[in-house]
Amino acid sequence: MKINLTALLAASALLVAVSSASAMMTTSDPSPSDTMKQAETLVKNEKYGDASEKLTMVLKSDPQNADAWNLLGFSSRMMGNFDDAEKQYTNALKIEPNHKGALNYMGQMYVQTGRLEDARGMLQRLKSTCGDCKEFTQLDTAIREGKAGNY
Amino acid sequence: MKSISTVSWAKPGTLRFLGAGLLGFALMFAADVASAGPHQRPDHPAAPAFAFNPTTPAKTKLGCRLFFDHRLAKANDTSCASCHDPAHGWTDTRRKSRGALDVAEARRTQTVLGAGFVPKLGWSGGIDALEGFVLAPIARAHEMAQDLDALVVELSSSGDYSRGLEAAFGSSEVTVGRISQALAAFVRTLVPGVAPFDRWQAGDQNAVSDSAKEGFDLFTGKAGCAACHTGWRFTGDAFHDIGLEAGSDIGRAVHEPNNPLARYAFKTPTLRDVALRPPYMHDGSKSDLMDVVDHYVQPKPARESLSPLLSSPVLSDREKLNLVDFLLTLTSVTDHTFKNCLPERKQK
Repeated sequence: MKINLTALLAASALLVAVSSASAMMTTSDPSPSDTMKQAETLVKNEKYGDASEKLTMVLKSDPQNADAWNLLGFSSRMMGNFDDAEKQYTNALKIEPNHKGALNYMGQMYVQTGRLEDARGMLQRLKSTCGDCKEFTQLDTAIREGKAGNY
Repeated sequence: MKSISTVSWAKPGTLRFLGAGLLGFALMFAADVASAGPHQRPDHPAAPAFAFNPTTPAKTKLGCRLFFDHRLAKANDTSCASCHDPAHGWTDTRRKSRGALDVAEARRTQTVLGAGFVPKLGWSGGIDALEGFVLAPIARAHEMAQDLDALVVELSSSGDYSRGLEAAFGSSEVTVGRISQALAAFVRTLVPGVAPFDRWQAGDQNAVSDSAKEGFDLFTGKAGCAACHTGWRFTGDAFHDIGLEAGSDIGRAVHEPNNPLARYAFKTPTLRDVALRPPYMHDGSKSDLMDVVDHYVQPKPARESLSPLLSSPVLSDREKLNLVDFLLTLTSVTDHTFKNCLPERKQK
């Protein structure tokens, strides 16, 4: 049987294209909320570098996500990147000025970096936002410990 | 100490015989790049600073004055320099540090030389930012026992720092944050100076003795010291259990409780200016450098946390002396009688 090479190549190309399309249809990207959940799990497991990658993905599609900025700030802080953390917490608080987590964590970052007065500023904001809530208590404790030299 | 293989970067050209072709060219290129050596001190090392606290001359000057000011202690009797004495490599000569309560702590005072380069500060690495690190001993009850708010009031009322604060921060207000930032800026300037080892690495064959050169070969080879004492500061800034006597101080495990290697693990110290800093180890248990070398030669206790990088190399007495001779070449030739920055007393 005489094989038409051109026809064979065309058939192969078609097969590859169909397979690729099929693969594209069956492999869907995770939604931002799924990615956020993955990031939260990574943070819980102290995989801060991996969490940062996921959170950056979330923020690409949802730049107004204060929770994502807050968690990204937390991850940066845990890795010792305090300048990045400060910007990221600031972003979270620009979007949501009463974000309890960001107020708490930014205050804790201030304690870690010796800025007790700034930490107290965050504590005041937490007090007016949520009274004696869990975040207020945590930051209050961190400030007391910092003031006692227990960083 | 585990024996590690090292590129013979101390002998430029060693790899050139490997031949022509692309592979040979690539290897030669790598050898040339590496000829400065992983332990070579950079020409102008500068400790990195955070954007929120850039290092400026005015801030550094202010921090220097604070560093030598006894009022930082509650009893006005101790400054940072009381324990971090420049004449002793920015530490003291005690086996264990002693603070306001005059009680021996579990650990020796660490040097602050090169602290600006250290990512996790303290023997167990509990502090990530130098700005936090400099406040801890001031405030801790066992050290300077100062109430930070009271310190702000005391320094404000004296007015002694008004001009320095103006110059550094733009206003004369005293705050805990400014005290911390000025101290951190000063500590970042405490960079190890040029040592005979550096002059040898730069090509001066007479800068160190033949014994020291042999010691360096041992350090990077058979003795395996360079497995942990890496880079130009001769520390990888990691934490290792090196088999010292285990007490109640569990070291890094406080921060990494689930890591079996963190138990009894302490920060690998820099070896820059090491000759100025006896006694050695986190617990001050080794009185001189020969004691240190002997420790690594001796068998270690069998425990899970023991660093896998440790071995017990067999070294002759001569080789041990070679190692000590090499370690002595890491001490800089700068003036170690650092003049403090406190202004002279006003004449009445």
